[in-house]
Amino acid sequence: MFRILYSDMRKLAHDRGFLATLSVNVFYPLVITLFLMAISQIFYHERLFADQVCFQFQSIAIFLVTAGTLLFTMSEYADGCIRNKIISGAKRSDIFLSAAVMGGFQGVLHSFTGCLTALLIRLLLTGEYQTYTIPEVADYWLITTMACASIGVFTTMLIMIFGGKKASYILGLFIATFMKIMSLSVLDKLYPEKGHCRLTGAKLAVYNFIDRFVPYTQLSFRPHRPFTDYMAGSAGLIILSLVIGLILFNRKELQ
Amino acid sequence: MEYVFKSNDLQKKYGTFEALTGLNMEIPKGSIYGFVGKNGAGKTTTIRLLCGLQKPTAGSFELMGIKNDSPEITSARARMGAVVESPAIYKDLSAKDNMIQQCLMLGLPDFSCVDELLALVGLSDTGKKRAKNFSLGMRQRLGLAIALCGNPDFIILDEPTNGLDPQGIIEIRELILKLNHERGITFLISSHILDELSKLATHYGFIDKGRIVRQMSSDELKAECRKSNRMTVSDTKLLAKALEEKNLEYKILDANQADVYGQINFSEMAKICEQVGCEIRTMEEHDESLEAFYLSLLGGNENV
Repeated sequence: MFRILYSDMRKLAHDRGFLATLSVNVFYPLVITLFLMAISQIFYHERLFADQVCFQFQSIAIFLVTAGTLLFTMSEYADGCIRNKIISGAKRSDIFLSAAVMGGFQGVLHSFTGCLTALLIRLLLTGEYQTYTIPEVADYWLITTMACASIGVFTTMLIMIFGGKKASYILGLFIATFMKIMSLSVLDKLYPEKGHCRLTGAKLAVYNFIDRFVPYTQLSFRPHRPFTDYMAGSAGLIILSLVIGLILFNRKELQ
Repeated sequence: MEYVFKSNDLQKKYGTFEALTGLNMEIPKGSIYGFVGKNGAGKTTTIRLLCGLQKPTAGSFELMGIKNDSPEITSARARMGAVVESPAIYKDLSAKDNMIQQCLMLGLPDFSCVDELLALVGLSDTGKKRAKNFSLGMRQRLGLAIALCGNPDFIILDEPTNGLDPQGIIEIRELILKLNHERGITFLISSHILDELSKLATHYGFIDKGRIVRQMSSDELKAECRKSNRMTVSDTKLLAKALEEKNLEYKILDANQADVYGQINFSEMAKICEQVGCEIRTMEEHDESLEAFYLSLLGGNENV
């Protein structure tokens, strides 16, 4: 498996889809920060607080990681490279595991780049005041990294089992959009701005489960649950993706 | 005879459609096996099963002596290269980087073969040009170079001359012949350009409706496609009588047409026919090509 993984890693460094999403990862927070800076200076005559800008990545992470992994793995299929790996005698399980690791790795790289960009923005463009302690921020970035890795693995699994069909593009982005909207709705119901949570019974249990364990939700709001819950959620999605992917990809008929 | 690939009643169904209906095919070691058939005859399905992209519904095959359901089949595939449908290349990488990717994937200890193989397929001067900017012919050559990584014993080429200019077709043909003669590589070539295939193949397999209709060596094919004089006469029964007297080999096609084999000239033929009262209407040299043989074998000319 490691030789396939090494070859995939080498390809990642040249992959245009991945590099494009990585550039968005760097420039999006920068552009937003400059925009907010301008508003802050013109209307309020004050510098930005770090809190206002240093978690920009989390708001787009779901789409960036999904799009990056979709583009990378789809090109593997479209260029016939998955087929070539099987023809060259690689085991299907090894091919799938390598692709899944690459999906997770892309999530980690995106999170790392987002964290680094946020750090630089904080140091260079803000007044540095923030309400969170350094361990809290580090905690959040660690949770973000785990969630991104699990989303990367999950998206890769989708493409691998759909065999690079255009449907996997649509499905991947649909799931990302749906989860983003759903997580916002869940958070709104669980933590309403006004009054108390009015959910009860099974609905409350389901919403609580989503809030605690679904990695897509973890990227939508600052950490407010025990770290172990987030870790279990990300690990769960990774394990589930690997098991389903291995079973289906091993049975898959390729063109 | 040692076979690189041998199938036993291989079947493949897609829902209710039977793509392979009991394929029995043997590819002798060291041969260039021309795989001929109409669109939808089952060529690509056979190649997909052989390459491990799909699993047979029933039947079995052996690849380099290893059965298809054995866990060792992947090691047999590691000794195989293929360009199926379109060449498998990373479009964002250069030709050299593509080759290195393949070497890494095959776990080769070094990349010493890269420059040699690129020179062999005429791509050594492409530098850092990305594969996506290559012409179709260049991609085809790169696909072949990738398939050659790791010194394979068996190479599968699906329409290898697709998109190549005449010069490119000649170069690929010569390359295949060179690799077959010098390195002993066995080739399975699926092609629709039958005339081109006839310049390469040492063995043929004709497939129709998911089964092999006929397998033969090129010598056997040559014998079947030998030169003859196609004659149109007033009565072939009279012609047959005359030819038998002269001990000439012939084949009656219908009441007025016959193929006569061997060296004969027109005046001699006219004299023979006159003796039995048979009138010659036309007489022309007839050389049956692979295409004509194929059509006569499968009894149709659509989608050749």
